[in-house]
Amino acid sequence: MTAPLGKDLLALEPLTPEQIRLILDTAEPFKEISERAIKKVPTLRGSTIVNLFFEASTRTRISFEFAEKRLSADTVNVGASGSSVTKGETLVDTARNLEAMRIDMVVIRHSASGAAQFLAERIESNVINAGDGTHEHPTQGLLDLLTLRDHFGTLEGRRVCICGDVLHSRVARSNIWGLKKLGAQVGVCGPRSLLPNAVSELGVEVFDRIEAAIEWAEALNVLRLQLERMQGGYIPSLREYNRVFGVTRERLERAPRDILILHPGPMNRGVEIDSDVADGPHSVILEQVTNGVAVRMAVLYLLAGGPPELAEAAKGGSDR
Amino acid sequence: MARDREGGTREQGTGKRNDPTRVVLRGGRVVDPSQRLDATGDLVLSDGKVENFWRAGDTTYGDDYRVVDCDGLVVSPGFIDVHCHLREPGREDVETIATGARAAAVGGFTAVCAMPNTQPVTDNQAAVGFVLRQGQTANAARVHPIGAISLGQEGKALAEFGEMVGAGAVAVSDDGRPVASAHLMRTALEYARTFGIPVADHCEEPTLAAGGAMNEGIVSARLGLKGIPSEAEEIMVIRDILLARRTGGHVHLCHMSTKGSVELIRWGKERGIRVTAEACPHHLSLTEDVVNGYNTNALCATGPSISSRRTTRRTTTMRRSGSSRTRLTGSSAWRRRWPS
Repeated sequence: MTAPLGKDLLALEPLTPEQIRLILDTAEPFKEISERAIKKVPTLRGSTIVNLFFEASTRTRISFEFAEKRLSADTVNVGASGSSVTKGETLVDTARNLEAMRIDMVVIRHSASGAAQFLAERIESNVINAGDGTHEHPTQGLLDLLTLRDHFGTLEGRRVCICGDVLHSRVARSNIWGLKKLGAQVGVCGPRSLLPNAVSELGVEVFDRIEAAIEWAEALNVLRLQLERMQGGYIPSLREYNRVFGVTRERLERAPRDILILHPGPMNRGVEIDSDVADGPHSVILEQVTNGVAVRMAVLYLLAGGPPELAEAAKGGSDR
Repeated sequence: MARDREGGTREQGTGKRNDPTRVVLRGGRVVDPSQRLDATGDLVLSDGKVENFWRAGDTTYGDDYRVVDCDGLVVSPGFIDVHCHLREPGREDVETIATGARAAAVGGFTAVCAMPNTQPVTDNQAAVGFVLRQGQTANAARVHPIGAISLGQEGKALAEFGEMVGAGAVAVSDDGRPVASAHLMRTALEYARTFGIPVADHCEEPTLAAGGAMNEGIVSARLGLKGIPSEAEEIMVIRDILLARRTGGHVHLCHMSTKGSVELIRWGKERGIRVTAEACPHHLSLTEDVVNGYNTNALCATGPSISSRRTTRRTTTMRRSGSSRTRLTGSSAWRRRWPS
């Protein structure tokens, strides 16, 4: 049967709301597997998955690897250093060589926007985008949606503000599309030098002041401020960024309601987010990480052609 | 291009047979904007020059006419491409002067100007002479070399315009790179006056354009590609126009792509400033939408920008209103390269 998502998961922008809901609904039964003593089901037994990570990653790479292993797939990790990429091999040649060894899926993280799509158009295997340049990071977007849905029940009409370096953030783009498709209102807040010039055409509310964003929002997704942005001249200093845009306890205490705090990690404590907030009662940052494994299991399962209605049953066939 | 219906290829005129002195291009659609002419008819050539044009009719021609049937074909003056990259010397694996000149001839171009961003850079009389000779050897479209503005196109020291013009250069340009220094641009415009040549600039403010891949706008925001704002072009356009006003030099603005540039050029022309410009077919016919889906062919087809819908429409207006005096193909061979 054809997979309900198609061959690949490259971005959230082209997905329908039904496809996004399908992934989130499929993730629900997979959550429980990670809570077991023996965290393994045979669903993808015999499948071979290559994790091609051309950019540094801890959370996403390990999360994918756990998701694959808990579904009993055989996995191989390839990084840029120590592979033939350092000898000048092209991305497509690397992938075609891997494919010649009969693999089923490729999970790719790459510094160039469009790299995942480029690969997907040129190989037969399923391709999952684990972050391409400043374009999208769809599984991060999905796990953020799942975490918000866990708390809000539905995203319809909810107000979520994405704070920080939207210009360079693939997490921001995936969040904007995903949230809008599920009916949420989306805001963005940050210095204008870190927002796309055409940001309002993305169909989001734009806040110049973090105080206004906090007054409006029911949840904040606080983006990591990459240190190289300061060297690139986009902002004068991390210190001033924290003073003007930092999500601090003082600012949240003035909010008219409790605000859910998300962060895709890794955090710069004391820059975009204060420790009081990151470790505070409304932080769901670690829940995001937990949900990441379930969401990725759902994506792997669906792309492999697993029928959605059998996800519940699939976990039943555990090795327990 | 005319061709014989019967013979397939045109006779080369070397045969002894009769050697009619006049040629008739019969029944083609004759287009010549300079004569405000677009009509079907017979064009009579004598000694390689146009002698007469007869509107469609039943004119008959004697034995001293060689008649070429052009029914269904367009007959036009030879096109001139003022902005080509023939890649020789240095990248003969991509294009040579001979292949470029032949491609031009096939496309209806009788003359092309070769940009100097070769390897090594065409920045001295010997290099200019080489391009000229290779063009003559190719024996296709005429090849007119353009010399560099600065040595090595490094934007620092002026190249020897006088010697390059003596060797056959028709203009100077650092195309491929903008002239970042306003002082160098000013000096080039002044110095070029002695030799009566234009200074052609690749208008792209380097700090605004750095790292950019496409027009800045909603498409670049969605795709996560670094955009180049239209101001990167327009800032250089107005700078060059103002420097042309100051110096009395002739500035030629390469591959214009934005609405603002057209307005600035019009502003300059209205004041009698010596400014000319060119536009590329893909800037007139394509919009930034072609980059959707990471169409890498669209990305590498243009350095500066394939602009938004509105901008493209405006550049089309420029073509119609004659703000731009020259046109080009922006023909440049690119090697297909996959990202690694």
